[in-house]
Amino acid sequence: MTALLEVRNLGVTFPGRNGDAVVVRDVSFQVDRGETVALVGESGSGKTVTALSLVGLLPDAARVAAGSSIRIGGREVAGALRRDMDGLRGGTVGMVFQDPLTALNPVRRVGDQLREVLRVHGTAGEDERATAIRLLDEVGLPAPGRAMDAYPHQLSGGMRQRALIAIALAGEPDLLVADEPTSALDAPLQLQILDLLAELGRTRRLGVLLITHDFGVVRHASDRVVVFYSGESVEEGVTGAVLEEPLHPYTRALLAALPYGGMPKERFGVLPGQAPDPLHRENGCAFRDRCPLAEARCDVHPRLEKTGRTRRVRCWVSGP
Amino acid sequence: MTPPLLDATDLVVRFPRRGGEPVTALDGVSLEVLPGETLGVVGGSGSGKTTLGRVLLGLQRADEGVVRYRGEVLSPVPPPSFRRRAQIVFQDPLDSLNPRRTVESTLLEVLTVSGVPRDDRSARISDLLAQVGLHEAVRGALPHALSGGQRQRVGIARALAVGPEFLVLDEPVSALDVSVQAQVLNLLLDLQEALGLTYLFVSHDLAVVQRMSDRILVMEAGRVVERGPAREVVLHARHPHTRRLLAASLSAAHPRPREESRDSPEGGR
Repeated sequence: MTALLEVRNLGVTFPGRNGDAVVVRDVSFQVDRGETVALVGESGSGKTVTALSLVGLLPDAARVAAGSSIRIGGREVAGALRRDMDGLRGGTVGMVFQDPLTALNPVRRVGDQLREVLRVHGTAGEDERATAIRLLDEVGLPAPGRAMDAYPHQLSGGMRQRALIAIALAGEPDLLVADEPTSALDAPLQLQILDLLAELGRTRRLGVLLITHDFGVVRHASDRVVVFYSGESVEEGVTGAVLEEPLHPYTRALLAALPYGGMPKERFGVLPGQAPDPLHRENGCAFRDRCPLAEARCDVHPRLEKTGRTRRVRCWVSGP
Repeated sequence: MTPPLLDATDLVVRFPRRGGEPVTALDGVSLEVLPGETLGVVGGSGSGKTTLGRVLLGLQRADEGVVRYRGEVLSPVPPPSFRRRAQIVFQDPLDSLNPRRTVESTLLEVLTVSGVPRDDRSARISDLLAQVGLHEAVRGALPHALSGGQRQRVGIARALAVGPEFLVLDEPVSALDVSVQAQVLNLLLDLQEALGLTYLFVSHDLAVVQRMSDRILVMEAGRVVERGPAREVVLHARHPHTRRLLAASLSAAHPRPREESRDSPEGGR
């Protein structure tokens, strides 16, 4: 059985006056139906650019590297543009953004925005309004009939995010890409939205790709996780296994820097230095200069290697 | 008993609302901050935690109640000397730093206003930069040219420039990446130890507050609903709101409760 989403050797470069910035390189992972996969990393790690390349929303300046492959429902979409991907049924992708207030049109009613998407995708069914209301109901908006007539600013933050999810569902996607969908929300609301995404994944058999910087979100909401560092996927596996037994030294350092547990006033684990400049890529492992385990062989760039049945890691030292 | 550095009694703040009842942002809040300790204030948006920090510094006037610093009443308007004793560090220094001023010029302004002799200012800037772990080379940099972590270090240096005793830290690391967040929090702990600073640490993040604080106040809708030693509040929460915050605190250390029927496929390949 082929995976719903299959990313192979994805590379994305931004050409510039001072040379090419390689912001994503050699990224491979896949998402199956009914599965939530988290891409986790810090700013500049390449997780968001990876997500944008899946939905055809890369900036015009971006160049997808030769040999990159993104297959959604078996169809190759690497380098495709949004307008070519819209209007397709089956094998489509819905996108949920961090801040629904900027993602929604402020001067159009929620219902109108939803109905437009239904029309574009030809998914309105016999009664467009009824279909729209059913979607708003499915994402847990109370009084969905009234929400149809509301402007985005009239809804609370959590309700706006639900409306945005309804719009993402309107094209009947197989894959939902959610970029930091809860980062703008208070903790209790975060849980509700994450649980909604999990429920939709189950009931609609969606693949959900969750982009986040927050390991708490990863833990709560994902089945598998891909850790990004400096534009590369450096570790991948079942969420519990990666968080409990991180293999890559970067994953270990990042988890040690988290505030969870620990005694009051206890110092935090610290990662020395900073991530490499994407304009000046060197050979060798991208984490080498910050890594406590670095050895001579780390001067050669490591590939993402399989270790165990469900685990992959990009490291010469702690790898397979 | 050590007398408190700062204490407040029955603070009430109401914000007028167009065509409606005023919103009560603080509803009878009392607290004491002891010298050298960190008092953590945790709550969601709208809980009043930011308003509380502003009122304690005299940046926002209370409709009712009293704030005292070393026993001296600050309200309604704190004396000018208070500015040199108490400072604030904001969440995103990009909003609070003047975008057209270099780091040096920002610090120079504070030093000038607080009466540091002209000849001493440059050396003092070097000291401040070293204290917050910034290289001399950032002197000439504008805020947008700095990383988030460097900007927050400048925000801390600016607060330290007047030689304060008390800092309100309002979500000081919420805008930062995990690895940078850890560095800035360690810096704040080191500075507290080295300079004997007293902190009011305001955040929505219970995990961070727990780690940074000696004692914690939990706020909801303008009221303090629970208070106590940091470990005590986290390990033996009494108020349902604290339990809700704890339950919703998405800890990487605690797995979600798995639903029995999660029919996700068996991992990846």
